[in-house]
Amino acid sequence: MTAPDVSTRVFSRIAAARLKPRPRWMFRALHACSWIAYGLSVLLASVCGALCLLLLGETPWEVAALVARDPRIGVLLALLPLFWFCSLVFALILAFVNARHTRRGYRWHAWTIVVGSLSVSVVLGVFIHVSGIGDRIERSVERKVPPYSTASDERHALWAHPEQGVLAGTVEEMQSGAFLLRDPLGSVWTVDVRMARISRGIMLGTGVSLSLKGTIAGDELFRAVDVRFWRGHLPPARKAGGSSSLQNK
Amino acid sequence: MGVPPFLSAADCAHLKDEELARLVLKDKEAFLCLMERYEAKLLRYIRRISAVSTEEAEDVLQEVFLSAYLHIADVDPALSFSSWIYRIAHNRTVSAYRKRAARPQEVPLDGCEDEGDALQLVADADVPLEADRALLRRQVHATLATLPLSQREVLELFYLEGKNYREIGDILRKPSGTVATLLHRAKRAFRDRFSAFHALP
Repeated sequence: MTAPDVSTRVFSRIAAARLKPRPRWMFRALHACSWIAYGLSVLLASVCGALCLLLLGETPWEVAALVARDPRIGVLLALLPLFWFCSLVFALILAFVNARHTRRGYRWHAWTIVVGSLSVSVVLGVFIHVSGIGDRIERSVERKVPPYSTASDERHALWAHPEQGVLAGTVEEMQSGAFLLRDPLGSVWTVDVRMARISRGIMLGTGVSLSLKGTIAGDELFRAVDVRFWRGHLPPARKAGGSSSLQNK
Repeated sequence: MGVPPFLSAADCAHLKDEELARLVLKDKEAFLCLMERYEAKLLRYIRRISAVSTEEAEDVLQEVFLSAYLHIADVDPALSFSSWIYRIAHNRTVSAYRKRAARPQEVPLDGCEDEGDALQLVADADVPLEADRALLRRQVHATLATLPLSQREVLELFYLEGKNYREIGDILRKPSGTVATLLHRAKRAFRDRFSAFHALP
């Protein structure tokens, strides 16, 4: 029986060039890398999801009623959550592509990959949010990315709309059943918290930053029904006292 | 080429592909056995889906075998060796095919017509059967040559290479469900073209 030509030629070429098969560890490393890439993209999706939850949870939705009067408010309300939501979608697409590139990822139906990645992202994202890791990540982004910091500051300042039932600021002085609060516009409010639901973990005291929901009950008197941590901060001039408006910043 | 075979023809014959693939890491002679088993099949497959000449097909096949040799440690135990090497052949052939995209689609039919179940393809596509089987086979191959590559390759693998859905999925790196859909569409396209080109009076 005549030896097949191509086989003989290839075998001779292998022998002449002393070719050797690539080592197994190299392929294992490549396969591990594709799984790591998938894992990282799911983690990224989880973080983006957590930050979406964080920002949506601390949004003063009450000011949305002012959007018709000032469209900029709508942009400020939506911008950062939308940014993280788009990042989440991008990360999930990346996860899908990375999953397909794993060794046997091509066998899975597209929906299996999408639902599986989304489920893991949701579970991990909720954990990241509830554990406070999301808050730390967002503060880190605020510190390191100036444009994000600017957008974030302006977003936090939306809480300074007591006429819409939302107020935020820093406690300046404690009183019985109330405290004095300086808002981002420099005004000092007396906040009545006798009927308020205060979020777990808040120790009311001087220097604490809070966001409040409630109603104006008198001249610079705010009756709060909900008290939470406020991740914003007063502009530097405000902390020292002074009454210039935020718009002049 | 003067290299005494480590493995005799009898050894080759009784070892499975996967066993030979593992042996290659210890002795490259085992690879010669594998090449001899797959040369004819892969050459036919390459020529069918890429419409190249025998010489060009042999060049592609050489690249396929070299790539297989270098990557032999990466044979996936979850799939058959046949699917694995067909996948390499498919990838190399598609690359070669795309470089020649502008060439007229002429399938080199010599030696390809008698293999596979071309008649089954015609029956499955609900095309009335021509009495002359040899003529019918030529018509089948001519029609296949006019189909887009993605449809042609799935029909070739299923009907002419005898692969099942799972194996085709492993070769083309697609889920089995997608293979079933592709096959359905390809059969429909084949039927439409066959009827248009070779309509019975």
